Amino acid sequence: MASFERSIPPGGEGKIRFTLRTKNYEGYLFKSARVYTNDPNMREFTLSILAFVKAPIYLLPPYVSFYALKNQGDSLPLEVRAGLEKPLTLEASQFSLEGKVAYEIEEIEKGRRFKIHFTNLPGPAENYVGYLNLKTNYPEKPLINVRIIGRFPEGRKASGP
Amino acid sequence: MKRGLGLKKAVFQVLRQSALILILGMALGIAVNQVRRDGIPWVMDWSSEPGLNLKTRKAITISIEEAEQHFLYGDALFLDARPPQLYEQSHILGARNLPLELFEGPMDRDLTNVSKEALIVAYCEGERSFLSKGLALELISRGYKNVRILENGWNQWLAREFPIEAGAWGEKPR
Repeated sequence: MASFERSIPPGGEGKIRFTLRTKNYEGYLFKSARVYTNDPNMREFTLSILAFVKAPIYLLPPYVSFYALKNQGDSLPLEVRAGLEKPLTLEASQFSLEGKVAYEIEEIEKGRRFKIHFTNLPGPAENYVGYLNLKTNYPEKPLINVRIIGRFPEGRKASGP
Repeated sequence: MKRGLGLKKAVFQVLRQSALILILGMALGIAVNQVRRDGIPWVMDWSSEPGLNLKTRKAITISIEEAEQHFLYGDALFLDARPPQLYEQSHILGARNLPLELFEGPMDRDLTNVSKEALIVAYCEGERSFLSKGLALELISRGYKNVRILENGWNQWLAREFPIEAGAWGEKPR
């Protein structure tokens, strides 16, 4: 959302005020606005904002998606990063895709960064949606829900990007 | 009988007056719109119909369904026009990062092995897709013949929970 002064006197200054609603955002956020003017030398220009929205814990990427592109037995990583100063601990609590997907938690930087390796297990090429819940020691975010999607459109085989 | 006629007349009068108020309101709205410097144009393309590449006369936008098909068959190069920080956070699986401001720099080298005929799908986020449109125009001006824009691409991709990955461009072996 932006508010601005509609008219700026010659040689004067005007203000454009941006308001970013950061609810449901985590990490970097980028927004642009196009500004149109009556200045013949600059009819329009773009204003951009790069912001960082702090969160106790970040998931990179936000979900895991297996696709027809991925062969069975392939693995996809997801990183969990601590957003607070105190060390983070993770503990698996619930997993809904037993037999379809396997996972392994690797601590790559003590108390700060974890990598979870998800592997699509051999089996029928069926679609599935499930999750892995992880308990944390952060009262600000005691539970992390990692969404896992498997999509295998029938009769399509691809070589991958 | 006389009472019924009176009621009918009253109803007609209300309708007539309502229509008059409506017409006056519309006329006032039109007049204000004409006077305003930032008035709403009479004719505007509100549709999401594809724009055209003026050089090739081909549609320059691509639907999410079509983009998915090309992703599935692995016959398109996806270019992420967002800043590197956002790309590193997560991006379409296999996409390359080519923010417009880095086009002239080292990022440009990433396109040296890309054929001018290759299907390139540029995406960013936001309904207006400023970044991907800018990138697409730059690519077209450099002779890439098959450039398409996936409007609001990142948000559409996420909404369908299609494959994504995290990590900086060039970090992983390709």
